[in-house]
Order: sequence, then structure tokens, then C-alpha cells
Amino acid sequence: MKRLKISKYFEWLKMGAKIQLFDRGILLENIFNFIFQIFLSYFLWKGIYGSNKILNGRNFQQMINYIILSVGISNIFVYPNIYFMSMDIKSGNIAYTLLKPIDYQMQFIFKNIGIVLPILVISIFSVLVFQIFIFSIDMPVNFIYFVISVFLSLLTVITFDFILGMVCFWTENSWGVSTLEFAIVSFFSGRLIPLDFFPKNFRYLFIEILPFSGIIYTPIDIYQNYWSANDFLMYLIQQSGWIIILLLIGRYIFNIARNHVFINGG
Amino acid sequence: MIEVDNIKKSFVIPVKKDGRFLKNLMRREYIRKEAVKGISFSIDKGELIGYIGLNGAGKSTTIKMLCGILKPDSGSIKVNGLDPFENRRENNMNMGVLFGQRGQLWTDLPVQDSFLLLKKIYNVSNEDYKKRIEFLDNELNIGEIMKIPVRKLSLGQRMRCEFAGSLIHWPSIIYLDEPTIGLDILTKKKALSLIKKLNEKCGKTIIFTTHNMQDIEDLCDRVVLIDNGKIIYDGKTQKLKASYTNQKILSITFDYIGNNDKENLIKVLKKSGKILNTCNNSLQLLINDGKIHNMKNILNEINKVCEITDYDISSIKFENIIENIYTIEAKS
Repeated sequence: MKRLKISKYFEWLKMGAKIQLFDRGILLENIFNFIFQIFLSYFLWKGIYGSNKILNGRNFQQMINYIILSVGISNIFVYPNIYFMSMDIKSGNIAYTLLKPIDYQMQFIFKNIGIVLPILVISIFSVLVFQIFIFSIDMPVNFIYFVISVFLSLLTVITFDFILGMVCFWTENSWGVSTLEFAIVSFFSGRLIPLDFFPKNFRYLFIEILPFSGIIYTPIDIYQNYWSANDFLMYLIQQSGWIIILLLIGRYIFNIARNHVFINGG
Repeated sequence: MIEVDNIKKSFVIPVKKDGRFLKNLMRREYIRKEAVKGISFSIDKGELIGYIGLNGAGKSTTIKMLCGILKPDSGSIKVNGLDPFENRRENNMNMGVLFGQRGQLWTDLPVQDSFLLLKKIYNVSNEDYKKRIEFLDNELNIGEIMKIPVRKLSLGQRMRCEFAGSLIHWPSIIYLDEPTIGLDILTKKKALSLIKKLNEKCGKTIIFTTHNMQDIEDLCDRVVLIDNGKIIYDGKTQKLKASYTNQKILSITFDYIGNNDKENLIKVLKKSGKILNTCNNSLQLLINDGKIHNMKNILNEINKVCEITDYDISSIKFENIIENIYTIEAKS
């Protein structure tokens, strides 16, 4: 890997933020989505709880908190990266990005962080609106830990998206890959169901081993429960390790793609 | 400056046969298409080269290999000593590319934003940026449209901005792949005059592909013709034209003649030259020896068989020269 001048890439961050801000309907859309999804989940879980007061160590109030946080975090990742990347590949527009003296993966990562920032602000806004007008959620146990965990969650999603985006070099249509991404992230991240609902063996695999729990489940756990500095450090190292692995896999697939696939058009 | 040594490239393309729906799902058949079958040439600093090829001849594939987007299957390319594919980022600092069919400017954002991104990527200083924008505004009139989102621009405006965008970093090597496609005549003239200026006044090395032969004739000192993955001509434009200066195209319109006479006419014409096209009462003839006494003879011969009502004699166009070359290649 040649020397990277990081300051260059911050410009991509700005560009990413700009293309989101250009879309003016996004604020309303986000709030609406947020409230709608929570209402759906509310009634679903009310049904699941039935006459039970506690399921898996959570009472209904805590469950709803989980859902609100889950929706809040997952709403940040709305940008259809895989779709756009496959469009770029099919049209041949990707050529232009390859013709720049920049690292393709770094450009992608910084651009995506930029894209998320405005949505993050809007998402927080949605939560506050919800907090004031509908019902309030609990405060985080450790706000700083939570913020760091959300940042790591973001990097996990981005590096994973990059890998699947690269796969689009070989597929003609991005729909399958998109659906795969959606399924994997929804299921293994704990977005739909808290991961502790799974039987013991799966629980260990999903929470401790796979990186996807770091997208939703672990950040919520950090928000709702006390984590000692030691535990947090362990998690930090583990999740960062996964991000680095995903990064490296992404670079490897990129190199294969560049060497073996042809760019359309012309 | 640019050394291309026997590069080859072939692609594997999946083929779907009609009617074999289930088989297509199970196993794909592939055909191998050889796009570039061994091309070599070298380009010196400051040359302005026209790169001509029919659709599917391997033109774009060659350009992509020169840019470092594709890796040649065999052979080597050296741009200022660097391999454009292996040393992608280093090579890109000094290279500008414009694909006429695609753009690099971000569609939702104002042109200016894309320019500023380019400025950052290529480490262009503030003064240089200012100077260059001024220059580009003078040449391409982009000043007034820089604040408009790219999506809202007309094609001509967009292409002018794209062209400007490829020059922000003032590259010393520029690849233009059909840059004038779809442009109106005024915009095209602006673009072509800028290309000439960049080459003559600023010393840039430019490789220019287009289907418009007139542009190549006006602009390029040297042309490279590619057909079916191989180079069929590489040399001075003037030299190419010189070998055809004697040729003339004769168009005549004549009074109606009967079938018998028509056959005679065609016999006469075939002796004199090559029939380019015929209509009811008119035809076009390509004559190899266009010297005046030969022309007089031919007209006399024709006049014996039919009554010429109108005629036109013109020099062979560059476009026809190229067309000719390709037709000969296709036959061989």
C-alpha cells in the first residue's frame, strides 16, 4: 500500500455529506420512517410478550428501548451503496474513479462516512422528536462508549458494503447482492431480534465471533448496560480487528477485480 | 514518452443461446473475443495523434490499457517509464482523460464542487487553480455555469465542463475518447480549438479519437488506424492524403436512357473508375487519375452514351480515404 495522504480524502467526506444535503425531503422521510417502524415493532412485540412480563431478561419497556435504538441506528445506513456501485460498474463510470490518483477503497470509505453524517444528525433529531412527543427512552449508561461503538458500527457496515459492492463486478444485477447484504445485516446484527434470543451455541457465534453484532446489538448493549473499561477495551480491539479484516478482504477482492474483469463501454 | 510494445487483450464473453433457457441457468457458454491482437507504437512528447477505428476495432480497449484501467494480457506499456496499470496512482497524477460518452462530474452537485474536489485530489495550488479556471473560462465559457448542478446543464454545457474538469490538474498527457460526440457546431469548434492550443502552445501530448474524419484532418499531424485489433496505418496525415491527391470524384446527372444504353454506360464507367453509387438519373464515380486530360476523356466517353445535364468534380475527402482503407482491409 503506497503512502496515503489522508487530508485528500476528507474532501470526499465533504462531498458525501453534500450529496445527502442536496435531498431536501430527507428530514421528513427519516422521521416518518422512524416513527412508522417503531410503531410496527411496538405492536409486534406487544403481541410476542402477550401476558409475559419478562422475556429473556428484558421487560417490555426495555424491549421497546432496544427497538427504538435499533431503528435509530439502522436508519443511518440507508444509502444504497451496492446499487450505486453496480451502476457505476455496469455503465463504466467506475473508470473515472480508477483514473484518479487515489485509493479506491479509501475514497469509498470517506465518502460513506460523509454520507452518514447528515443522516446521523437527522436521526438524532428524529429520536428527540420521538422522545418529546411520544414516549421517552432511557438515557445511555456511558455516552462516550456509545458514540465510539456507533462509529465502529458505521465502519463495519462500510467495509462490508465495499466487499459486496466488489462482488458486483461479477454479477450482472445488483439485486441479489443487495438482498444478501440486507438479509445478513438485518439478521446477524440483532436489528430485528436481539441476539440473546438465539439458542446458546448460536448466541456465542453471533455475538462474540461474527462482526455483525457490532452493528446493532453491541452498541445497544453498551447503551443500556454497564460496561467496565476492561470489557469495553476488549470489544474495541475485537471490533477494530474485524474492521481491519474486512478492509483487507475488500482490498484483495478489488485487486482481483481490477486484474480480471473488463470495464464496460467505449 | 509513451512506448507500447505488442500488447494483446482478449475478453471472455458469456453467450446465451436462444431457447435454451434451463441450460443457460445451469452452465454458461463462453466465447473469447480478441479485442487487441498485438499493437505497437510509440508517442513522443508534444504529439497530437488521431486514433481512428471502426466500432469494435479495439480502439477503446487500447485507450483503456494506455490509461491503466485494463491490464494487457501480454506485451508492455510504458508511460514516462511507468506501467500505467501497475503504477496507477502515480501515473494518474499527470494524465487527463475525457470519455465522450461518460462524465466524471457529480451530477447532483454544482460543477464547482466537483472542480474543488479535483483540485484537492491533484494537489493543485490556489493560484494555479485560479489561473486555470480563468483560462478554461476564456476557452470554453464555463464561468457562468459553474454554480449550476451538473444535472441541470445541457449536453453542450456539460461536455464543456467535463472537458474543463479533465484539465484542472494541467496534465501533460491527455486522452480524449470521442470528446465531441453530440456537440453542436459552435461548442465543437471551441473544443477543437482548445485541443489545438493545448498541443501547440502548451506542449501537451494528446491522443484523440473520434469518428469525425474532418476533425482529425484539421487537427492531427499523425494518425493511427486500427482495424480488427491491429494497426493498419501509423503515419503522417499529410502522407496519407498525398497518396490519394490524384483521385477525383465525378458526379453526373443525365437524361433518361434506355436499358441498352444504360449497360453501355456502365461498361464505359467501369473502365474509367469505380462506381460509388447510382440513382435513376445520376451517379458518382471515383477516378484514380484525376488529371485534367483524363477527366476530359472520361466525360467525352460518357457523353457518347448519354446526355449529361449536370456534373460535379471534387477531390476525394479524407473520410473517403479512410473508408477506402477499411474496405480494402475488410476484403483482404
